[in-house]
Amino acid sequence: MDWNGLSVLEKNYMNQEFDQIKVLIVEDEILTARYLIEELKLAGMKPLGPISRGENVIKAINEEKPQIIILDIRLSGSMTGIDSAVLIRQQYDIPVIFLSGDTTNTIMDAAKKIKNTAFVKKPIMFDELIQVFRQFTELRKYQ
Amino acid sequence: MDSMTTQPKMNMNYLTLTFRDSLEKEFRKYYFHSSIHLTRLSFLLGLSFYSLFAFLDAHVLPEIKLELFFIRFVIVCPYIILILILSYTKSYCKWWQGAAVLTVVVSSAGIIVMTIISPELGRNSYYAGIILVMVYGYMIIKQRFIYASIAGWIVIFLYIMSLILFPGVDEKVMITNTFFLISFNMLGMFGGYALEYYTRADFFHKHLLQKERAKVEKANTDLEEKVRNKTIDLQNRTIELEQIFEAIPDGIIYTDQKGQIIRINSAFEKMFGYRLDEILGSKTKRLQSDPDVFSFGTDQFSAGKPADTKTVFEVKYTRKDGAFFPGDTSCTSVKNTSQQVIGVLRLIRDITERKKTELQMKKDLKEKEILLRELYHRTKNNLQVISAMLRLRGINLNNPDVTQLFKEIEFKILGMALVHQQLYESGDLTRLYLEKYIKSLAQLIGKNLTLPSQNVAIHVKGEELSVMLETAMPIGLIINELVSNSFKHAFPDNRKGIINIDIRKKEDNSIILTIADNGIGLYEKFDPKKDAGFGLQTVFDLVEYQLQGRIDFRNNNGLEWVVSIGEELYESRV
Repeated sequence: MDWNGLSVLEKNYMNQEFDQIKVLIVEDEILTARYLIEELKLAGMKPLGPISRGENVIKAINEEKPQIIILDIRLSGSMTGIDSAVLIRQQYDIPVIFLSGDTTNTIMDAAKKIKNTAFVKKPIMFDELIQVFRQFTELRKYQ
Repeated sequence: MDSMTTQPKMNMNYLTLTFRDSLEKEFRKYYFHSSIHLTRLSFLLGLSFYSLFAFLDAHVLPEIKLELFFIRFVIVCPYIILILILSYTKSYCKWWQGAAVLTVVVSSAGIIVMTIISPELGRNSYYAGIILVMVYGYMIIKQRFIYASIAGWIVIFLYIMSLILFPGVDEKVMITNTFFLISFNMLGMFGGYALEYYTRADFFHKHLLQKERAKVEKANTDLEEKVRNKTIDLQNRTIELEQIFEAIPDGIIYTDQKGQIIRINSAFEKMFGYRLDEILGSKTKRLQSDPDVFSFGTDQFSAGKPADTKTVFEVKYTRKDGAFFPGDTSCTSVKNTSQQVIGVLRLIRDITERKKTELQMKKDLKEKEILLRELYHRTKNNLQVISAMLRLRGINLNNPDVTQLFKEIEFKILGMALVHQQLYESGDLTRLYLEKYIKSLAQLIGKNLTLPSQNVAIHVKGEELSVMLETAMPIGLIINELVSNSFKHAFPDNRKGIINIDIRKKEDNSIILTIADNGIGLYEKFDPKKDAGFGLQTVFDLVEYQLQGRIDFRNNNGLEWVVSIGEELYESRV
């Protein structure tokens, strides 16, 4: 998707739509994380992080109060993204978007069991990610 | 026996002849019951004698025979008959000794009265009757010593009193008679004492004997009980062992000293299809498809060696139906209490299923390996295709800066392709040797990034250490960036140069990567925070964020980068 090719109107629309929504990025690959940060900024969101270890997620949530979390499943350290999400759900109901290149049933099923989550395959297609964001923000509007 | 030497002594008052302990009560009871019949008999005897002397009266003292008869048959004999009758009452046991004393006293008193009323002959000689009564009292009537003595002395007192109150007897006769009477009474006392003493001693020993016997009987009963319990125990143990033997899922063969089968369990029957009677007495060789592979003969027994196998052997067995199956086999010798080998237990486990599974697992593992190699291979090829596409596009561009950018990206991709190549060439498919990877990476970069006019050599040194894909990939990118930078900036004006790459592991498992060139170095006020371009910033991020390590640089006859990263951050996935 060619973001630079978007018209000013479209950008303005997205900026309004996502209205500096705070997104915590949990991703151990720095290049992917940086790519996400740039893209989210362009879409009018406020990326937080990134952090690379699942162990640090709760602390980051407490400090930065994100509204949505992007959570890679494979992380450095001993916790997976699934483990982290389970931990997050014990305290918060913040929507979680899982990222993973591993789309085997074991991983997908484990992810589905956790409420208020979505799954985006790697390599990331940004427009797909935006669609997922829309679902969550739309939902928020009606609530 | 012990009891002979440690026999307990009688606890007795030797004057009154009474046991000091509870035994006295028992003795009284015993003495009464053992004496009562004899006492009654002695009453009859006394009665007879007292009556028979009436003939003497009639012959010697006819003049007062009526008076004498009166004493005998109206006073004394009826008294004795009365006692005899009363001896059949229940309470007699309480006063029978008193009755005996009274009997002696009454009989003697009768005789004393006879002497008083008799003329000289009777007066002088009838005292002998008292002696008879004393004999009767001490020896026959079963009076206890103490009572007999009391009775004896009362009688003596009465006789002496009769002599004093009714004088007229010759003094010499009087003294003689008294002397005889007292002497006799003393002898009687000794006799009575001895008699009772031995009766008591006899009782005491009987009592002891009874106690001992009770002890022996108790011991016997205990022993019988013990034997009975032991027998039940043994029976239970045997049943237990039997059940265990049968419950073991492995086939068990028990062979005797000659190596002949004497027992098998039900698992064996199922495994081989033989019943015990079909193979009883056979050698175990018969069950093996190759009898010589593994067999226990009699020689092991004759040499006295235990036939135990420390390890488990795999033996090929033949079923009754002729089918073969592999069995894990172990042997244990069975010894008797004197450590002689009396038989051998052979345990057989059918491992047909396990072998099948093992084979399947090996196959699966092989397949997985092939798949993984294929995957790495294809990834490498795809990355190479991408890099080729970039090259094709880059060549035809007229802007040299963009061409250079394309070239850099191309080699980063090729560097990543190299990781996959190293992985599928590595032994375990999850780790690759860092030094080998860096060498080929350096070769790739050196060959392709050096300008024709440049003369720069890359040397790679290091120890053999393996890392996972997740660590190798960023290290490759870091080297790519830093070495490219050296090529670009360190050697202007066609300087000759050397780039040294060194990789090693420290004791704490951290990896130290050093990249040093002997070029012009960085300008003095270089601030990595502000002045780093996109490429260098990526290097910092990769080290600090992704590998959670440190990166330092210094000018040391050129530029030297030192990257240190901790232990690997990922757990193995494969």
